[in-house]
Amino acid sequence: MAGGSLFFSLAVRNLQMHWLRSLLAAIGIIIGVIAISSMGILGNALSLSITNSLSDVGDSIVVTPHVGYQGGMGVSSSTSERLTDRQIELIRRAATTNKVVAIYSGGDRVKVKRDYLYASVYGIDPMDIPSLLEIDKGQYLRGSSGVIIGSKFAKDNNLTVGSRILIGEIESGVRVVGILKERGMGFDINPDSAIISSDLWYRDFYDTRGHDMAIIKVTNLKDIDRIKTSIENQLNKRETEVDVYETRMILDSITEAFGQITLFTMAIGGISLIVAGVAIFNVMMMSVMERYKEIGIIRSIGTRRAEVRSMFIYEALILGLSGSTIGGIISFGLCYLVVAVFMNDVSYILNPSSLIQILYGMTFGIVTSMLSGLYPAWKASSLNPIEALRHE
Amino acid sequence: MTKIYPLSSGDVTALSEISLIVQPGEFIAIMGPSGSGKSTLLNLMGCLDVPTRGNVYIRGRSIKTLSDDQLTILRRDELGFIFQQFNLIPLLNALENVRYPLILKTGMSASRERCQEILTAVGLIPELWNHRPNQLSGGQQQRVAIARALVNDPSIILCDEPTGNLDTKTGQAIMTLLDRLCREEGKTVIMVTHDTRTADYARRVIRIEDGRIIEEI
Repeated sequence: MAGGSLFFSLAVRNLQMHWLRSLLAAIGIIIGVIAISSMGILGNALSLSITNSLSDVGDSIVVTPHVGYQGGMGVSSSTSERLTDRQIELIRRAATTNKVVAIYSGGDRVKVKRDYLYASVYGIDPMDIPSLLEIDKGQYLRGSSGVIIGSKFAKDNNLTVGSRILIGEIESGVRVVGILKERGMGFDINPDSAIISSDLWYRDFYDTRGHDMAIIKVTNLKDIDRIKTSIENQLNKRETEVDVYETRMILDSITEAFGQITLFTMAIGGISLIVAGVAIFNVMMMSVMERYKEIGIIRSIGTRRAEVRSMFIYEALILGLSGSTIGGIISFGLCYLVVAVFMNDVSYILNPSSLIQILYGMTFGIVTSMLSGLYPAWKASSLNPIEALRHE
Repeated sequence: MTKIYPLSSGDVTALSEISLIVQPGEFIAIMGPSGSGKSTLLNLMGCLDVPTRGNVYIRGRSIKTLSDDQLTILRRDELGFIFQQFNLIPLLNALENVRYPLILKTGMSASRERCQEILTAVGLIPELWNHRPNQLSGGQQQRVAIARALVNDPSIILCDEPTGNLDTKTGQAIMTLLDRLCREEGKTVIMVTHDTRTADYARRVIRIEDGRIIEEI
């Protein structure tokens, strides 16, 4: 088209001439884009921070006793809601070469220095601990003596390697031999504020039979489904004895739930953008009606319909583009501030999955403006030049 | 040709079986009372409308077979329009108004010098070139409009009451300019007017009443 930039500059001049009206229309778009982008960014930052704290446990299968299962053969036993040795053996078989860590878990009163508190206690075979947990200070368990403690537990109670704690009613003393690295919340065990003892010590101390859960560390992620099915086949064929969770799936469903919440809030933001679209439509229609005569003039001296159309579409595009850009910049600044103040970690904002929300918001803003400008532009281009010329 | 406007209150015949041949380089005036159909005739010759029956041929080309875009390009390249209301684009200054049709034809590289030459030729002083239409007098605006009509070097100039909004002296100056364009540059000038003094500049005068030609001098 000859002189595309001619119509662009005409569009700019018209917007400048009616700057207040243009500004108000652009403010509508700015607010809409801020609403969508900010909701998107904050939702995403929240989701990132949560999945981040859920540690990387995507490679595990967790087996727990099925709640309500009363032991085999209809005999109610004290091992109900615990995994029997037979079940553990079947799980090991299903896991083939993958490591199976059987875990005792419970909670007990603990005396630290002079304070009493309540803590989770896990009993794990010392040989298996390194495959599940990482030591920060001190050393892993050797034999049945001593315990290792979670980082948060150590920090909250001012404990170091070598400290003594007393466990249970009988206040049995144990020495801290190691402190774990922070691991974050998990779907299997939450060691950060817990005490980890050897399985032998746990079994003797609490006189328990049967484990509370088994964790299978899967080396090849493709095996997850096969192992899961195999366990289900072995143990849950006649009656549901165990529940099998795949941590990856739990992680996925949490991320998905967050995605849906974010989408919902973004949709609410979208409503404000539709309102902005109506404002642009209104401004553009006013612009067309005010310029009937001018449209008649330019049509009569040789401006094609498509060229008239482009002039009005440029106007909508300029409003949309400038509004969306300003809105995008403001929402970045706003979210940066909010996240820096409340989440203390701006990396959630700088993450590409957050930044792309700005792009979504801006695209939505531009598309809305363009759609609102289409009808007025079409209307302008289809005016009869003679009638438009007569218009006063 | 015949032009009928269909209205809800019944069809209105604006032009009824009119035949007219205009030779290249002619200066003709179309006269008649209001509502006689002279503006309709000018619109049809200006390719702004098509006749209901009959046809308009411009340099042998039938306008009825042309698309809207083709008609627009014909108006841009072959015809120059001069209106009673001047009809300049309010957003553009004098020079830009003249340059507008040239940009439509040749793109953004359209020559400024040519526009300046034409503005000088129609008698607009350079100090006024950057003025917007609302900062110019009627006579000055009409000079810009004539320059705009000439910039694409059309063979036909269509004028609708070109002096209707001007005082006598300015009107005469504008008519002298049109007369010179016809004589010296061989442009065909077709002018609608109801002012006999303006019509005196034309070499042929056609009178219309009720959509028919009643007299040709």
